[in-house]
Amino acid sequence: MNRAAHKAKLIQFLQTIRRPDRPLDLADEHQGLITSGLIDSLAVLEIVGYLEREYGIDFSERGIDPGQLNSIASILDLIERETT
Amino acid sequence: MTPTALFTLSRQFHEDDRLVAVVSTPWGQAAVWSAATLLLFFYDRTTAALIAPLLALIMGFPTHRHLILSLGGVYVFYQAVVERQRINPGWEADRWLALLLTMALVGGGLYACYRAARSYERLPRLVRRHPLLTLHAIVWMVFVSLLAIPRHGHLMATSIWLAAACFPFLIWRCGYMLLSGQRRRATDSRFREHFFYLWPAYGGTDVPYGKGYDYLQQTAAETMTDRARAQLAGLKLLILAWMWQGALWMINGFVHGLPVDGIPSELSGYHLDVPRLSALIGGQAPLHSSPAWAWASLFVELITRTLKLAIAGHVIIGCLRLFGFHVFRNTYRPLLSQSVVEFWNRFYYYFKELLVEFFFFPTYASYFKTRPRLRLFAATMAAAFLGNVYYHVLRDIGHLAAAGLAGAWSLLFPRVFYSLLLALGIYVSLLRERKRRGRTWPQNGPWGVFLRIKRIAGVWLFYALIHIWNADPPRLTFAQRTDFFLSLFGIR
Repeated sequence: MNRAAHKAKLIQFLQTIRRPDRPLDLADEHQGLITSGLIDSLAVLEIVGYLEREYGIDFSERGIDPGQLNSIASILDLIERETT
Repeated sequence: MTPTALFTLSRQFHEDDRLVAVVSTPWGQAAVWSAATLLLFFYDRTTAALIAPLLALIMGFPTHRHLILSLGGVYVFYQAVVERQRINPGWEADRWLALLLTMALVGGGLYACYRAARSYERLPRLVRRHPLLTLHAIVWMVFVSLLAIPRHGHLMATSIWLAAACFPFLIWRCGYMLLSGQRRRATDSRFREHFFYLWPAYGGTDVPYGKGYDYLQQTAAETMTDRARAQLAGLKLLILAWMWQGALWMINGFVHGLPVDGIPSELSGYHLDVPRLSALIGGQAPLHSSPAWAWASLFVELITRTLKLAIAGHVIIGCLRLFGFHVFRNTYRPLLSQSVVEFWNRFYYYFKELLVEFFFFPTYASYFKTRPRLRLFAATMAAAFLGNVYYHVLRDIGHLAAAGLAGAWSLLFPRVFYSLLLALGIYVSLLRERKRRGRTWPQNGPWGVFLRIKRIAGVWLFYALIHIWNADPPRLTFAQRTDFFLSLFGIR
C-alpha cells in the first residue's frame, strides 16, 4: 500500500472521530489535528488504537508521542517508518 | 472603531497584526519590557528583579535565549540550595563548600540524565522500555541509602542530603528529558538546551510548567513577528493575573469578610460572612442552622481555588511567553467546562499533562490492548489515582517521613480518597465523551443554553464535593472531612 492509499484510509478514519462542527482540511497534511480543535485529546487514544489494529504498530516500547500523532503527515510518516 | 471591535481588540490584542508590527520594533520591545516589569513588580518584586534583566538580555540577544535562561536557572538553583540550607538546622556548616558540592552532585546527576537521553538507543533494553520507572527506582534507591547517612555531620553527608532534597523538584523534569530521548528528539541537543527548563528561571513548582525539551522546542518563536506575538500573549496573561487577583480580593473582602489591603474599613463592613471551607471542616466556624452557608462556602472555595491557580500559572506562563515560548496556558476557563474530563484538562493543564505523559500513556500503550474499556480504566486509574497520589508522596516526602508511618497515612489518606473519586469521575466522563463523539447537540436557543448550564453545574458540583478531601490544611482528618460532607445532606 502506498502513501496515498494510507492517507485515504486514515482520512476515512479521522472523519469518524473528528468534531462534527470542524471540517477536515484535506489539502493541508500538516494541519495540527488537536491544536486546530479538529479532534480532542481523547481522540489521540482512538488514533493509537487505529494504528495498532490496522498496522500492528506496538507503542509499548516507543511510547505514545502526541507530537507524532498531531497531523496527517506525521501519522503517515510513522506508518511508513513502521511498515517498511 | 465600533465598541464591538474595541472589545474584541481588548480581548485579542495579541492577535492584532498592527500591534504585533509595532511590538516588533525596538521601541515596541522597550514598551513590552516596561509593561512586563511594571506588572511583575507590583505582583512580586523578587520575581521582577530576576525576570526583568533576563528579558532585557533575551530581547537584545534572542539567539542566545537558551544560554541566558540557563544562567538564570543556575542563579535560581543556587538560591534554592541556600534556602534548603537555611530551613534545615545543621546544614549551614561549611556553607560554601557544601553549596558547591551539592551543585556539583546535582549537576552531575542532571548531566548523566542528559547523556542517557542523548544516547537513548544505546541504553539497555529494560531501561529503554521503562525509562521513567528506572529513573524513579534510582531516586528511591538514593532516598533509601540516605537512611545510612547521618543528616548532619561531615560535609559530604550534608551535601548528599541537600542534593537529595532537590530531586522531588527535578525528577519530573528529568522524566521529560528521558521522554525526549525515547522520542529520538534529544540526539543532537546540547546540555544548555535542557538545563534552562530543569531549574527554570521563570519559576514553577514540582510540576514542570511548559513541560520539557520537546514542547518548548515546538513552541519556541524563531522570527521577530512570532516573538512579538508570544510576548503580547504573555502580557495578556500578566494583565489577567492582575484581574483575577482583584476578583480574589473582592471575594475575600465581601464574601468571607477577611481584611483586605486597599478596601476601606467602612466598605469591608458589608460582607456576606460566608465561612472559609477549611474553617467549616475543622469546626472553627459554626455551621448555621441551614446547610445553605456550607454549600455556599463549598462553591466559593472552588472559585477561589481556581483563581489562585490561574494567577500563579498566568505569571509563570506569562514569563515563558515573554521569553518567546508560545506555550499553552496552565488554567483556561475551567469553570465553563461541560464535562469532568474537560475541567481536568483546563484547570491545571501541566499537572494533567504530567499524569498523562508519565502514567496514562505508558499504561495505555502496554496493558489490556484487547479490552478497550479495561484499558481505558487501567490508564485512568494509573494517572488520576496512582500517579496523583505518588506525585504528592514525592512532593511531601519530608513531612511524611517526619510524621512516622501512622501519621503519614493519616495525612495521606484524604488525598488517596480524593484521587480515587477524581479518577472514577474522569473514567465515567471519558466513557460519556466517547459515546457522545460524532453526535451533534443543540448549541443555541433556550434548550442548548439549558443543557450547557446543566452540564457546567454538574461539573461544579462534582469538583466542589470531592475537594472536601483535598482542602487545605492537610492536618484536617479524613473523619472531619467526611463528617462535613455528610452534614451537607443533613446527616450528622
